[in-house]
Amino acid sequence: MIELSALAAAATVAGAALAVGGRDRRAVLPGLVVAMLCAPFSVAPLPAPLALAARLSGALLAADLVWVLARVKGWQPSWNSLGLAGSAALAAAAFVVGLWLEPVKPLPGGSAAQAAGLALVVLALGPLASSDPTRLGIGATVLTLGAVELARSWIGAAPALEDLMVALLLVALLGTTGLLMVPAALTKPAPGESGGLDEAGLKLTPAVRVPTGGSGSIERGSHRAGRPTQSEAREPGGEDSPAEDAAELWDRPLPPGRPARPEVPRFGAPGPHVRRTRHPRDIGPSR
Amino acid sequence: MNPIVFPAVCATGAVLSLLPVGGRRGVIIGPAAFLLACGSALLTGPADSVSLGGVRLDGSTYAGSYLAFGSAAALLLSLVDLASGRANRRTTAATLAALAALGLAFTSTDPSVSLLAAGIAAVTGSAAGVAAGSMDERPDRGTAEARATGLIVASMLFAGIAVARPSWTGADGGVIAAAFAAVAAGLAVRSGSVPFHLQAARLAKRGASTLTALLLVWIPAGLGLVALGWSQIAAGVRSDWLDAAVAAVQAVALLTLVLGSVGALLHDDPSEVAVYSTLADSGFLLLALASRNAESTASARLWLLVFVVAKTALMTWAGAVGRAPGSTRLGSLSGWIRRDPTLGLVLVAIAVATIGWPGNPVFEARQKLVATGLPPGFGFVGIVVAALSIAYYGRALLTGLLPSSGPVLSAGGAASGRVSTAAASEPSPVSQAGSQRERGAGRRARAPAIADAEAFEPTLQLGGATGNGRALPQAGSETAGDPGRRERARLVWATDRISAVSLVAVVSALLALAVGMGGLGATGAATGGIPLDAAAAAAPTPGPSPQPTPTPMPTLPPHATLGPLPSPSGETPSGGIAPSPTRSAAPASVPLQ
Repeated sequence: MIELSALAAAATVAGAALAVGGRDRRAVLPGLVVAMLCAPFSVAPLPAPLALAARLSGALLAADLVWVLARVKGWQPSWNSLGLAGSAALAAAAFVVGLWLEPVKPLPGGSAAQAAGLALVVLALGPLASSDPTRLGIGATVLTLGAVELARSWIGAAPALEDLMVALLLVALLGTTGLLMVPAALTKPAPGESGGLDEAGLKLTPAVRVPTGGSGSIERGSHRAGRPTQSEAREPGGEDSPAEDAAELWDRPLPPGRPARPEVPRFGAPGPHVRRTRHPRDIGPSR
Repeated sequence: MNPIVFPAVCATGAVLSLLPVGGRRGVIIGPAAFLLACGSALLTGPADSVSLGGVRLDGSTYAGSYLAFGSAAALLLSLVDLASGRANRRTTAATLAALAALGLAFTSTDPSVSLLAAGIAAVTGSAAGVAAGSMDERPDRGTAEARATGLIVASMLFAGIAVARPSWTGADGGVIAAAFAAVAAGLAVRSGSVPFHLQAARLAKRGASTLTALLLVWIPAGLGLVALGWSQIAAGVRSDWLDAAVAAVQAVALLTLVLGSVGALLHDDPSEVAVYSTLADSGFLLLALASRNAESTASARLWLLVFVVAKTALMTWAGAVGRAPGSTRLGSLSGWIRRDPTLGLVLVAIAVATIGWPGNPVFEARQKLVATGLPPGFGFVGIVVAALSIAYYGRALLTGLLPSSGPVLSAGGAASGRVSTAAASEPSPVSQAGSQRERGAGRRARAPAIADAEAFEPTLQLGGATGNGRALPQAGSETAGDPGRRERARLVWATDRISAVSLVAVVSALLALAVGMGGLGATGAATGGIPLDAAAAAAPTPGPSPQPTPTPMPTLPPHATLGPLPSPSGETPSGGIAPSPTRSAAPASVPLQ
């Protein structure tokens, strides 16, 4: 009979592989949620109900936080050279090795948790070497999950407060990752005005994505603040990347007298409450 | 007081700081939370204990002192940011959240919980840096911060595994060495040690004072304290790998101490001088970690208290000294002491509190850390670093004693000019509150304070230019709008922000001086510790893994016995218990009859 811990460990690793190898936010974020939700169940024996409740609620809160930010900003994961299949194969290999290894004897938390932990740590190495801060945040989250799995497997059950701290750590990590998805111009408050993140909590406004031309109506210098970031513009090799096209569109000068180009139809038409951002050079240090 | 009160107050303050509360109430939430947190930390003593989620939280004198000083320093610096219009409620919330996490880390008796809480504090600091836009405006902004966060979290989790000392199948010296290296690397990256100092240097140009102090002083000091407690498990470990890791930490500490001081000497911006001075002194944290010596632990704890308070005061000074002239270069700030001698005294007090003198607790603590943290023969480093510190403090002081430069003269010569600089060019929170009130119906009766200031501008001019621009209407003056004491206090806040900042800097410097001289119970508190110290020292040493005892095969007697066989129940016919065949070392042989 297959144990619950083994199933949960496999689901955790699958979710993490999806989060690391996915090339669409519709794959990355659900994968992360599945990994965070299944991870507490991969330990045998199961944690106390209070600890489980803390972990699950923390996972849901973290997922909700990052999902809201990712939806508002239209974030897309950067190019991952391994891809989903490569990540899944790597995770499977690490999982098998984790089942075979015996660094600690006896294993108080079971070998499934150790295998899942090792697979998660191996999976996290790729994003941690990335230059995309969002990928880095996801890698740090997966690494945290993996380290906690290894600790549970090697040390055994933990008090409920420790699980609560793990949940808070995941919330903080994914909250920071969500903030990293927001373009710089929206996060940096100009002197004398509130930040792009609305002072009323984390109420976000969509980014302006109107390419400017010679007679564009947008203020001077504001086009760079709305330029797609590296995390949004895919690396060379990706085909039909709208973000890459948009980046090229920004760099190409417009002929004189020609009106501004239409908006890049990636994030939809900007509404009437679109916030215009300022160039960082104009924001600058206040001194 | 219950040890959980401090984290609860800080966490509540963090949540309230993020709520959309406008006006003055929104502005004072942060300082009020810092004040309450400071009070609750002072009231938490070593006899206070509570159990939460299966973990006991114990108060201690040192944790109370550290958290109280940290909260007080945060309060003072938040006032400076409020006065200079740089207040950011997300930074305030992150500071409070980090203090809450540090409160849990310093009171938990479970090492894993302490390390996890320290990791949370580091992550909230990173979140504050990201939210405040302190990173570069390049597309890959935040990459370094995200990497640092991942490293710190991983090191704390790994250290949590190592301190639990599971029953490894091999020796655990390598594991502890790797965890030591990871913890030291996380601490070095977060504190901006050389060669990880570039991001910290950028922070000086972009971040508010509170954010800079949070990322470079409070969180590294908290991490350093937790790492110091954790390193007790490495005290008795003999491993070549651990020796190599310690040597690497010593090298980084040495580079940080010397090059950080040189950087402070070479840079012109007072904020950069403060940041590089902080980086240099954070080298002592690494030395404390590398010492692995119980004798130096008390010195390290005292140094941590001084570090938190004195470096916060230094950042306050840096925020104040260039504020009125509107310049950020020491070269154009010559004569700043002539304009405001108070700030000169503040810098002297900070230097004395940080460096000390022979026989002074801080000086002796620094020397002890150098002596125990570096190999024999490097004792001169302490003197060199002290000399370099005196050099950059002296350079700043000397600049202030030179003839006043143009910006300083213009700032100090006309009171009205200073008012316009402080009140108009830097939008204050009061003005922001005023603009928020303008949006709200029914609140227009309360005019913004700036409008009052403008109304009193003739009065300010009549008060005369005293050279430091602090002319305010005197009580009982003949002016038409005699404001009264409360009104004048409001005017001081609304118009003369430089005086307010100078006052805060004076309070910070006095606090630093008192702690640096071992006052306010700092020396006594440093001899104690936090519960993590005892928990890490008492971590069970893994013994050899329990190997199953090989069961010897039943040995046949050398000769067949003709006696009666034992019954299946094991009883002999005579009623005795037959010896177990597995335990019989030498089976008795029965001679043939």
